Amino acid sequence: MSVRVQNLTRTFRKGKGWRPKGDEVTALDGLTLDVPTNEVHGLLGPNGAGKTTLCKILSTILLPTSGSAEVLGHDVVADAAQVRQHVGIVFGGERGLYGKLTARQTLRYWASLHKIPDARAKVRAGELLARLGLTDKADDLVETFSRGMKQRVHLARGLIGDPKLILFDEPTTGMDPVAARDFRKLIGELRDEGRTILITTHDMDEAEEVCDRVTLIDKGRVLATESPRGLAAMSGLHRWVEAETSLDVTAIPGVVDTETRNGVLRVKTTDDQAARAVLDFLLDHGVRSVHAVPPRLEDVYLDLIGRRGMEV
Amino acid sequence: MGLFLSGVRTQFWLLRRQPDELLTLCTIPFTVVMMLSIVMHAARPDLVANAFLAPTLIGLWGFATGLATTVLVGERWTSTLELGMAAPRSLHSVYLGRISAVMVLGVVPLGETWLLGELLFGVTPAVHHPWVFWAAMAASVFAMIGTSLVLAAAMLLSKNSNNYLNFLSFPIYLLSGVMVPVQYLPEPLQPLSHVIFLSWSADLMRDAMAAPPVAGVGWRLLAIVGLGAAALVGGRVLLAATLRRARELGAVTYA
Repeated sequence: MSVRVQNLTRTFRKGKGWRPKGDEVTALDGLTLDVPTNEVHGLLGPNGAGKTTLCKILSTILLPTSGSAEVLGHDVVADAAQVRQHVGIVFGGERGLYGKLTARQTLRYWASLHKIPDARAKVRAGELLARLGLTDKADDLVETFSRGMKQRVHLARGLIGDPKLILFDEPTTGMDPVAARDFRKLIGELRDEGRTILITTHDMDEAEEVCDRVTLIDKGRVLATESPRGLAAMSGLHRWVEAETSLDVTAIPGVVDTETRNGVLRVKTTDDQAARAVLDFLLDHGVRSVHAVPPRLEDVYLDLIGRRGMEV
Repeated sequence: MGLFLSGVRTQFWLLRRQPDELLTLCTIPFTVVMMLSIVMHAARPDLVANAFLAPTLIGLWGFATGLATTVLVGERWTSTLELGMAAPRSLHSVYLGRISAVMVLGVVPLGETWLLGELLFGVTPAVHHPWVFWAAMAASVFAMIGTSLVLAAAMLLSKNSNNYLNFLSFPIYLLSGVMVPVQYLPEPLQPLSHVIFLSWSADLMRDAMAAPPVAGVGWRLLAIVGLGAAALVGGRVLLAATLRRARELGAVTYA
């Protein structure tokens, strides 16, 4: 087992001073999770659900308030030094980079913090930069890079210590579709190398595509852990219909929700009978491109967590 | 490569691309002009050494508070601090290396002051005991590294560290005898001056520039090095405590 988290709680206190005494905020509330070795595991949840807090505890950046967390059999508090040797953490976005260093210098700096001798660090940096397609830009300042290239520097930095467990905290934030596709390919390669990967993401398609299993988290608690397909099956009796139309079907009995994306109407219904009623209505109105479709991970996410939008 | 040297190298890489970080060097000419103008106008050649020492040591202190002390705060802003906390090796050595790199540059104001004195006023002070002078300068840089580590760790405790850094300028110049010898301060303040290593540095360097033999060189150097070593140890302890606190409270980043 690469990650074993049992009844993990993390609270924060608001206020100032050496020991703030303000209101307590709970980020993780008795969370339990196992991630087997060599699994790509997705953590899904709204903002403030506790995903990043969990990643920070697993990488020893934060201490848990109670409960336990083990990485490759090492406790994150008692054996923090051992844990750090096996974990790589990769942020998304701009944070965590030195804009005034080149990509190569960035990797050599972080290599020194991972006990890698400088001669080996030079070689390893070169290998990682080549792997991530940054050889031509290796000696350019990171601040001159595009968002996608910066993300590749992040990835290279996270891999510099050859970690067995890699924590990706919203890694595709700001990536263009091509870069995101390359990232997903890389995830597959890392799994083939025997590494375990934990990804926090808001991108359901990404989770569905790359994750062996996903865990839905809300308010610091696990709602469900399943394969993306298994989780989709948890959507109960709801049935979905998709059609290329702009017709209004909301008046049909049994229609719960509708959404139009890229010209495709997606209708959520209460059961088979309601789905059939929608299909009949659309066919009667001359719509020819109509399908009954299985639920997506996103549907289950919205069912379980709700449409909270920006609310945290 | 050792972690300390990696820190030194990285800081030089960063500074090379951020010349604006060396702003302290631009403030030196103003101090030189002010100090030397006063001395020359008052026709007090006996105070020329003071006029040269003040910008030199103010520059050294400026590098400490303006740059070295903000290394960790900068790390916090960029979230590289939390990535460092997840790395297998201790952050202490690498940050000490980065601070040391800055403080080595803190010697530059010495050359700048001497050059400006010669160019603008045609004055070069005599240094009658150069070995004592350079030993005092080296000890001062060492002590400043330790002091900077303490301040850098302390700055992590506040989200408004710049306010505290502003306080650490003029009062320190006065208390440390950099501008006016400590013996001219009110008596109740003098014991406080003695725990500031710069007061020992300023006195010893001033004596090294004067003609009479310098008394008690050994123990005065020891005082500077001892205060610096105490600061190094204190800085290490404070940094460890601060990072531990950050892990406990979740106060690693500003986000």
